[in-house]
Amino acid sequence: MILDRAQVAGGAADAPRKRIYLSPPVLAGFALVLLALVGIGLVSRRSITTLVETYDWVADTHDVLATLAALETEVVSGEAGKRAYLTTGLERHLARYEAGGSAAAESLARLRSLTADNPGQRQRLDRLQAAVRSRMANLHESIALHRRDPGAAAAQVALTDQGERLEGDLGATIAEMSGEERRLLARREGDARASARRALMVLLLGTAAAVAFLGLSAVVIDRQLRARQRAEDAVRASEATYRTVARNFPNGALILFDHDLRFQMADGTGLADTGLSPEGLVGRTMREALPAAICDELEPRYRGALEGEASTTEVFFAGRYRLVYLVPVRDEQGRITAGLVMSQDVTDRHLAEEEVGRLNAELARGVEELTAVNRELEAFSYSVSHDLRAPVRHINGFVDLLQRRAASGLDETARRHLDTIARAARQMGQLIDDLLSFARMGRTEMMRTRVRLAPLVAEVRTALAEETRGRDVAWSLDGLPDVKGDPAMLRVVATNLLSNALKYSRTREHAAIEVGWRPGEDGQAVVWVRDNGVGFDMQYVDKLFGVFQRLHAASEFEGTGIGLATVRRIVHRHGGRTWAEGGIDQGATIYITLPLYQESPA
Amino acid sequence: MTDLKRILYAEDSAADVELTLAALAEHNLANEVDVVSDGAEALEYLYRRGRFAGRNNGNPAVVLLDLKMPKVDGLEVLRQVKGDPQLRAVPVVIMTSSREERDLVESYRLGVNAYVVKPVDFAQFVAAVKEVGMFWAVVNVPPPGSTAR
Repeated sequence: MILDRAQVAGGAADAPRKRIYLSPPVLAGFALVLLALVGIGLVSRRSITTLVETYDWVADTHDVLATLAALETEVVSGEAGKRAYLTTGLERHLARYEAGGSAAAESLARLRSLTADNPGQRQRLDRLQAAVRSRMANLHESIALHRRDPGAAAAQVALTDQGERLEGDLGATIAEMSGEERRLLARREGDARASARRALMVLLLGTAAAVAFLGLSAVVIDRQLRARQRAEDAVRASEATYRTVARNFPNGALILFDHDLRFQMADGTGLADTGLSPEGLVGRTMREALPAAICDELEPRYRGALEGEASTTEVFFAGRYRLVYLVPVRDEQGRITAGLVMSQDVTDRHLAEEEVGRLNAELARGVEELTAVNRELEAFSYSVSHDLRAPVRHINGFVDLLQRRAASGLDETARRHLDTIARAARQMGQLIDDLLSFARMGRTEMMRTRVRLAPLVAEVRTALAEETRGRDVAWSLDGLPDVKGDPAMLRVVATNLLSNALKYSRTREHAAIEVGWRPGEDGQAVVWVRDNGVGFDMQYVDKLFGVFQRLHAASEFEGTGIGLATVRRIVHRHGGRTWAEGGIDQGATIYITLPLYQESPA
Repeated sequence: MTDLKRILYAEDSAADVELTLAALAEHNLANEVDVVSDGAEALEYLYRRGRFAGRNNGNPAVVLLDLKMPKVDGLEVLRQVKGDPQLRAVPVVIMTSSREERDLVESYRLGVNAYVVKPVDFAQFVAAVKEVGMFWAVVNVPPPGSTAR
């Protein structure tokens, strides 16, 4: 596991335990649903209570109505008993009358208890009771009259009339009370229906609200779950990316570890080389998974990485050199969640570096040897320049002195021999000077500055004026460029080339010497010196620039055979080339290339 | 008679000494030359030590120095002369077989007054020696303390 899921969901890692994961909108939705349900419950309870009460009321009303009806019947039954007695005179018929009277009393008592809470009905009941009493008293009087005087018909008729009137009053009161009860019944039934309708409405609205809130909450929860799913997918994807990177990490391994130095992930193409495996590492701490020596070496760096300090070191592990990078892994808030080890096998590089070091040491030794040889050469040429020149000078000097003193006493042959000795000594002196100059050109430090070829060549031409005396020489010095190089060395080049051109065109009646140039490749200038002199055979062109190489007999053209070798050496030191074109009796052209001077060096 | 001054000539090669003296003789300068054969003797001459302890004339008008000499070479003599307040004013001319760059540079660094490369050709050599001798011994006005003959 790379990242803590709770953190992906955006929570704080500090309080991971008692957390409510529902969002405020969802919580509010649930609260509203709860409220709606409680409301529904309360309203329903009230409605049902009202309904129950109403049913009680209705039952009472029906009871009252039935009792009223029974009362009327009982009074009529008393009347019927009285009439039967009056007609038959039989005492037994009086039982019906008495039963009717007591039943009526019971009914009245019952009515009183039923209408206890209704003052209007109680008033009516008082009247009813009085009417019943009057009626029963009338019946009693009628019976008493019959007992006293069975023949008193007229009185009896009067009592019966009175009884019928009382009967009417009683019926009216009963009807009044029944009407009142029926009105009450109707009103209560209406109330009950309205209450039921209200309850139904509240129930419907409450349920609808609860359903709506539940629906909204469901939508919100769904959305949050989707977001969480996406975040988890992202984590999984980043894990997959990570694994891909790790698995394909060339020649090494990527390892993640937590704050306990416990490995969380390990992979890489080079992991197997170390004798380790992802299974052997993941879940174990460093000390459990790795040898103690390597732990001692790396643990401070592991801990350093967890404190934000990246480091790099090279370790020798499992027979190979490994470059180990340690870096902290941070989350979006910048907190360090893990440490990352990137280990790479650098054995080849290490060995190559050792090889480079060895070669460098060898090279340094070589340079040292070269320097020593160079020093020896320098000492040699120094010695040559001093010790070889002196005897030559002495030969020259004493030959001269001898000629002055003894010339008159010598014959022609002896004088010629002395001349030959003097000439040979001079030539040897020249040779020594040229060789020393040649050696110096390869050895001395050279400047790289702007050299204006045009005035330099003109000066050299003037310096060679002695050699052109009495000759017809047509010079053509094309507007020469500025080059980058050593002025003294380039003067040697110009002197050699111009004096060569003069020398080999000496046999021409009209000598023509041309110095020209054209731009060449890579910022080089191709400069040439062309003469119309005796030229040379192209098959020997390779010998032209060699030391002591001459293409003409010394008796024909004097010279040491070092001039063009010196030119080549100087031009090479300037990074240029030399070549020549010519033919026998067709003149010669010597080409050299030199770096053009650039105003602002790139 | 021209007011000639003495010349100190340090040279280990007898042949060179003979040729130089021959060249100077052509211009009547040879008699004014004191020859020593190495740097140590040159210093003894200048400091009046050893066999020159009794020398009672002053500093030479010019010192002609060869570079390559046994014991003490020319550059060392030059260094001591130019490092000594008493001798610094004495003109020193290096006369050598070759113009090696480092000798040239070192000589001028030490304060040499002239540097002459002896030409291989004898005629040129004679001309050069004559010019040096004439200039330093005749034309040039030496510093005070140099003794006329």
